[in-house]
Amino acid sequence: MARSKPLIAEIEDVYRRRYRQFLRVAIAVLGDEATAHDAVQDGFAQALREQSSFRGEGPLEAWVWRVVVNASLAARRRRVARQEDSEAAEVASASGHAADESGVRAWVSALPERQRLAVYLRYYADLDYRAIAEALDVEVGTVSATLSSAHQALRQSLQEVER
Amino acid sequence: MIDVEPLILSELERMRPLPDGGRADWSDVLRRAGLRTGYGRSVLLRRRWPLVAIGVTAVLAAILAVTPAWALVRDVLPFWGQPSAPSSVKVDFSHLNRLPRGLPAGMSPHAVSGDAREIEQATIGGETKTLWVAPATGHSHFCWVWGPHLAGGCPSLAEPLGVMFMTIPPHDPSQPAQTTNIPAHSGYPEHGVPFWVTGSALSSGVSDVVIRFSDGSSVHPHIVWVSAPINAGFFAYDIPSDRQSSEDHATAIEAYDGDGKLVSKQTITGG
Repeated sequence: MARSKPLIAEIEDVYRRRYRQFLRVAIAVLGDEATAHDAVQDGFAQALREQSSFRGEGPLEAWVWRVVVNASLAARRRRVARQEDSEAAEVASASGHAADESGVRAWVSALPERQRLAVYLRYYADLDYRAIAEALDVEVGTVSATLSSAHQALRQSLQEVER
Repeated sequence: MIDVEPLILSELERMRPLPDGGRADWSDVLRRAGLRTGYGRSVLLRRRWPLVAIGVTAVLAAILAVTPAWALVRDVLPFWGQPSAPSSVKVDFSHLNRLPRGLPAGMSPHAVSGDAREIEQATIGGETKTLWVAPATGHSHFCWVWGPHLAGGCPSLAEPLGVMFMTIPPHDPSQPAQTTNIPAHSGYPEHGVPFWVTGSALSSGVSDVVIRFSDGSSVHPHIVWVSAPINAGFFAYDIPSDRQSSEDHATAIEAYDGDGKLVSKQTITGG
């Protein structure tokens, strides 16, 4: 694909236009803003270093999202590895189980990781299904099915609450 | 059926409002990537030296095969890695595209003002000024602006050296030299002597720039080389006030190629 300007400039454009959305998703993954900012910075730096691996088959921004989401997940893994067993267990609980939360928050917390990331990218980053698929390296149909089943699960839990 | 999307949106918004963007820092991203904003060398080499050492021979051979000779011996500033220009500077570049009435449209430099980048800062007559450069698609392939409110130009592709200088009336050599301050809209006396010289040199044809003085001495101004799409070097020389007299002043600017051959010369008249 012919590009109107160098990739580094396009990546910079993505950063300047969308930094807040990237930060928001990273905060959702990591829980605190300082670590999330660090992950976003590292993710974009990695995108610059590995820009030759972008094949231009999809939108550049979706590819950058993939790099930044992976950087955020890696940061979370590193942090968990650093913590004591008890603290690590707390993090796992907070990010993976409903605990005593209710409503949408509980629903999001209870989702499997991949589905939760799809929800973040859909509603925090306002990405369409194709871009989410690129970012998570899955088929578009998988995103559609993932979000659809997630919606269905929430709908069901809300109906149960109403009864 | 319950439409859950509005509920999800409002609840997620409540849980995690859009954060403030005040921490955004592109230059920090460049640093982490091993791209310095000031110079073209990569700090990645220091961080990953064992890895680099393994492949260095093969990489060097590949670089020698594809890199222009001039790029091997210079620090080259990566143009796209430089800070973007603010709106006020982009407006200055767009003004360069406006031609005086009567001139054919083909003479427009077509500066791409939106892509303007900061290149360097220099002290000129006691004031700090910034050099901004933008690619162009017309009769020149780049334009430059020293700002705020100083000068700008789009050199011809046919000339390896583009020079602009500002002059003042020469001072009496028997009197103490005065410190030069650039007035907001300084004049350019027809028979003055230069107090500031700036210019650009095409990377492919020029290796060195020399400013000659009337007493036979010379200086080599520092040149900041800039990568593609600019492929040019920029220099600015603040001439000392004791070299702005009728007896001692700059007389010419010369450009030399890599073999030391004179490729361009601009004579400064007056004094």
